[in-house]
Amino acid sequence: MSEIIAEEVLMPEGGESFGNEGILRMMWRTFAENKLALFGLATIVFMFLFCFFGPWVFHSNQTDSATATTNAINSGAGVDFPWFQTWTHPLGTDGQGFDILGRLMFGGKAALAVGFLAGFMATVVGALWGAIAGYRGGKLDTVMMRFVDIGLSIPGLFLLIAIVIVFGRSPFIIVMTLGLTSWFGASRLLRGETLSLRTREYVLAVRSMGGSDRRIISKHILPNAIGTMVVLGTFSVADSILALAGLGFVGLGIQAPNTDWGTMLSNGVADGQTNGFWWDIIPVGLCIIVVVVALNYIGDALRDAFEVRLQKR
Amino acid sequence: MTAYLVRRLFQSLVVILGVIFISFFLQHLIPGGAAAAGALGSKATPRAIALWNHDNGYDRPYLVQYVSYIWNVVHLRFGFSSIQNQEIWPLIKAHMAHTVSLILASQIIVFGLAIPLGVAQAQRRNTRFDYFATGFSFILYATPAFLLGEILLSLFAIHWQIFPVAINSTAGPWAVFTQPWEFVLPVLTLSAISIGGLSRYQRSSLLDTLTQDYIRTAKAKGASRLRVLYRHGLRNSILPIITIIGLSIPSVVSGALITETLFSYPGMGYLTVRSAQQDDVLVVMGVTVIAAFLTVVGSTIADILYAVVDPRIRLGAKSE
Repeated sequence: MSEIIAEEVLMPEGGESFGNEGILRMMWRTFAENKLALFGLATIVFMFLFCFFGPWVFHSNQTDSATATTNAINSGAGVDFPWFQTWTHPLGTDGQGFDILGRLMFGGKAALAVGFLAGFMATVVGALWGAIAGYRGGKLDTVMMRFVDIGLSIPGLFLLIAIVIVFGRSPFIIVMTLGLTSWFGASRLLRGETLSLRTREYVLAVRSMGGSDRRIISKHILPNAIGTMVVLGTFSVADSILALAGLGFVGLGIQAPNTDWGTMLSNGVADGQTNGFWWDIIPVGLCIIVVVVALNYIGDALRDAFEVRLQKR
Repeated sequence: MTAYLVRRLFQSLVVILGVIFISFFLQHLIPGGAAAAGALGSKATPRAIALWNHDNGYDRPYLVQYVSYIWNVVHLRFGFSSIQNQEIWPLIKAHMAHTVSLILASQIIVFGLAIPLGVAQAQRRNTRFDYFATGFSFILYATPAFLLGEILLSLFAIHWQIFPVAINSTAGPWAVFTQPWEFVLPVLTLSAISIGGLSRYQRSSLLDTLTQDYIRTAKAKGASRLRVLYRHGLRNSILPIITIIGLSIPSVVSGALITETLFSYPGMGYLTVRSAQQDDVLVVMGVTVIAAFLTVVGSTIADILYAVVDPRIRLGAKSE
């Protein structure tokens, strides 16, 4: 839909032909030229389908620990070896008797939801902060950027842990905390971008017509920095997923009966060290790596796609 | 240079004050305040809390409390942990040197491996070696520290039993350097992420430098290939790396937290995680302030080092 609109706007009057396609389609082409990025996009789509719709296809008990324990005891050694005897548990079960394939979906839901929400939040907050600081300049800029320096110099995981134990461990708090502690880098980049945008003719024009600062930032600066924001957002989601995994690993992630990939990994490590259950560690580890790498590929390609300088070549 | 130094140190001071403020602010957001968090536990009655608050000055105006909090932090008084039944500063002190030594050791490894790797890649750009090394550093970069550490642990410590599984808990803080064998796995775990990132930076930084005019000039006047590469190229390209290392210190400290937890290494990260699991908020706050302080010291040293090495910064500091 938006592609068609963009095309109409770009078509010059008088039949002069000036590239026959819209800007979005041009960007998509640049993006699609990057095979790794397409692979990354496919992976993310697949992981979303797997985590959110997978449970409809593959039913497994993920919340009732009593049933899970019974299941674990009935299967003999406590934990099913993967592909052992039956196909009821294709990837085996974990130390508590939960099916691992189902648990990957269950924990993945939390990991993806938290990662995307927190990443989105960090990008929006960082973009606004950076744009305001960069546009207003002067003392306000100095103060706002010193605040960013403070944020950047506290080791992230320590700050996360401190906030999470003060406010409690609900998923809401975790999303807020991740979002509100990871925007500092984004604001620096957006500030830099704003510094170059604020001297452009169209910004000067709006200002001379009496446009308010708010209007300039929201209608002119931020839309023109959308490329940087989308790229930052992609990396930010990847970072949030990693940070949540780190939080889960130290036991402060999504709490039982729910779970996330980091918490699964942490439990798996305990099982792995006592019983050697490698299938409790490797699949969930791979899920984290694959999603993070895929997002990084997408971010790289988006950067190319938005880079006007590269498009013209 | 002096002006630059003064300005940089002032900046660091502001950052440290900010960190102390955040810690102060968070402590006041705890339900029941510091009383419930520290001395009395979460089941204290409101009356007991009010009494404790009065006795310890928590009913004074916030600004007065903030100033006295700064005063306490400067004197390393972080309060008393009722859970550990111990003053907090001695507790942190006992764990601090462990973390510093672990980070130092890993940064030496990072520097020693990442820079030669990046240089070698830039030298053999777009060869099979370059692609392989790129893929390798990408994997290192994307693998979370806890997963890599766990894989190393289960392969080299549990399966092949080459290295010990847990660190000898009686080992002194500098055992990383005196008994390096025991610490191969934790140091590698902590180094891996930085090696991935830093070698990428070194590669692109050297490639950028090699396109500069003075490199062409050096080649034109007949300098040998190696001389151009090392004397003109490497020396200039290594400068930004110092900044990158300074900037990466916070994430390395976070990485140390994971590594210490995984290997039960008694550093500040281990202390934080253990205290967090027991909801010992004051200890977590104290460690966070100290960790941030060490981070700021580290980045300040990196920045000053950068100015010392690069005459453009040292002499042109005023023009900025």
